[in-house]
Amino acid sequence: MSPWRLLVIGVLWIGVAAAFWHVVQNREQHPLSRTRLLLGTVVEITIYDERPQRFADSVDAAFQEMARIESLTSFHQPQSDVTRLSSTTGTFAAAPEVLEILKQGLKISRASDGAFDMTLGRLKALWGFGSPHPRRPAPEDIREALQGSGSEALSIEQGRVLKHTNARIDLGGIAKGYIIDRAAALLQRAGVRCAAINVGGDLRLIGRRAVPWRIAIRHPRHSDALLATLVLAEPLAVVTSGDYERFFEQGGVRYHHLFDPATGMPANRCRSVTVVSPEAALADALATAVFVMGPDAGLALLERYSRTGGLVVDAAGVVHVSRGLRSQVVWP
Amino acid sequence: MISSAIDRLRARREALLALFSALAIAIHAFEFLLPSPVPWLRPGLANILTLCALFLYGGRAAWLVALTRICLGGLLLGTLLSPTFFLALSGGVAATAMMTLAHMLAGGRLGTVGISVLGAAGHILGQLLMAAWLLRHPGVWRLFPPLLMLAVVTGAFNGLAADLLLQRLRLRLARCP
Amino acid sequence: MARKCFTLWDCLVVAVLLITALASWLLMPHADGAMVIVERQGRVLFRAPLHCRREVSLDGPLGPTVISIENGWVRVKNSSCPRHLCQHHKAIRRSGEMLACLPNGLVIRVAGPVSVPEPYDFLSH
Repeated sequence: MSPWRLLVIGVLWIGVAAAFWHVVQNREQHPLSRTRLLLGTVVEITIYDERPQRFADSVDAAFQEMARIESLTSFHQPQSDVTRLSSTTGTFAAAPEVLEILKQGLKISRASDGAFDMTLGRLKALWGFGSPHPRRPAPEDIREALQGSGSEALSIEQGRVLKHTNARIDLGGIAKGYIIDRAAALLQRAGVRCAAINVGGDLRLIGRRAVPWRIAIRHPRHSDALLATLVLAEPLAVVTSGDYERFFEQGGVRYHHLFDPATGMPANRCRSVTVVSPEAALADALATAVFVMGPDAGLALLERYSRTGGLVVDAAGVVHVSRGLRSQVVWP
Repeated sequence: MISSAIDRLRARREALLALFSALAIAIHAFEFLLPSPVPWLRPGLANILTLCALFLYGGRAAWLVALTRICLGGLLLGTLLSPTFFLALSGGVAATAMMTLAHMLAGGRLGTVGISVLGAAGHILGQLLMAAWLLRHPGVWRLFPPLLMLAVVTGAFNGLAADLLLQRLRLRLARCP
Repeated sequence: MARKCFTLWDCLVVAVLLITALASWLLMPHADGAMVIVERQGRVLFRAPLHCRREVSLDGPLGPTVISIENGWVRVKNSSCPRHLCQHHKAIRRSGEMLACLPNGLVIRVAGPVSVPEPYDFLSH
């Protein structure tokens, strides 16, 4: 073998070894992931970046922002805007964030013919989800708790909230999504290009990755099985509402926390609803609305929003997928 | 007379290379359908045909067979322009580059086994580079040592198979010039 | 023509590649097995390999929470929180799975070895 060939081979091997070594040395580029207990669940923010550590402060700021808005919208805290709004009738000067949530919520409430309802505070308290001993209330108690609820109970005029009845406000179906959106906006302003916010299984993706996002959806009856996987190229929000999240059984019947405002009973048309939409607030509220409306009316509602789709498991366990989403669903 | 003999050789070369490519695509598709514990772990039997092309007709023929297999295979399996396709492409290009380069540099000193093993090593290197880039997750490099081990084994097997095939082919080709 | 499928050079090439594989194996920092990580407010309190059997008691604002790691499964064995929801949650073992004791402020999660990725990025539920 001529010395030239030996030289070429040697250089090639050194090149390969150097490239390999470089890659091994740079393997510390793990995405940065931080968790906090907020919104009554585990919140996880993951930053995908060459140097994710530089956004650590922004992640902390996002957590703080989430905690701040949570304190405005919580109905547990006696001084929160939502608690004070619940106990007043007439005009109320709400914080801009609460006003924004109510505005979006009312729109969806009207679009869904009241299937999405932010005035079910008394009904939810009556059933006692979140307390140690939830129970099925008497029908007359349910009727009483529904008095004064419905989307006509609230309106917004000149930047002030007008509450016409004594309904108690519960933003459970939209506040979480709105808070996720605010955290996402904060991260984007801080220069984060690719990230994910996961609030107890409700997600908002930020930016595109070289490979699409793969979002698995839990099976509503088998907690360790996957129903399907969504393959999303675009940064969207994915929110799932299911009857398995919070429920109790009484007399062999399962009572869960997603109520039909028309009856005051747990909605019984679906087992789980996953909504994909550009904004988490919209996805959150629509998931609740579709859960109440059922697969046919629900998917028809989703068609009215751009880049929005859904996957519904109905009461019989049959899966319905909206047309726009079909090409993005991978079955296991 | 002489020109017709050259024409015949050329026609035979083209027919053989087309046959190699077709066989390679068939094997490629078959391997794709085989279940595998790790998606990238394939014996790479299609490389036998690239090796034959390389030893019979040189580097250009090897590139032809390899690229035809990857592109038409991707078209056939519906993986064209998907991550699977890019993994196959980067692996195939790296493998063929490795084999043609080694063949050129080593001349006649390296046999089919050596070239095949180098090709298999090139294949996993190309795939891992692409996978690391696609997934942006350096964890894939943890697969390098075990995959290289396996590549040596499958590469050696493919080399032996290619050698058997080449012996038969050379006998046949010598018998009817 | 002599058989040329396995010359001295071929042996050499195979040997060099095997040595490369072995050397890269030895040089590469070894992958940790799956780990159990316990956090409070984003701060790691405790981490341990999933395959080692152990029991850990971690103090929270409400008192101790006992976490048991056994046969590759993690569960909350005992907790001083009021409703014991975390205790009734089923045990976890897969990378990315979590147990949380909200009253006591603990997040227990499994972080897997990077070479066995889950087939998805996030789980919507």
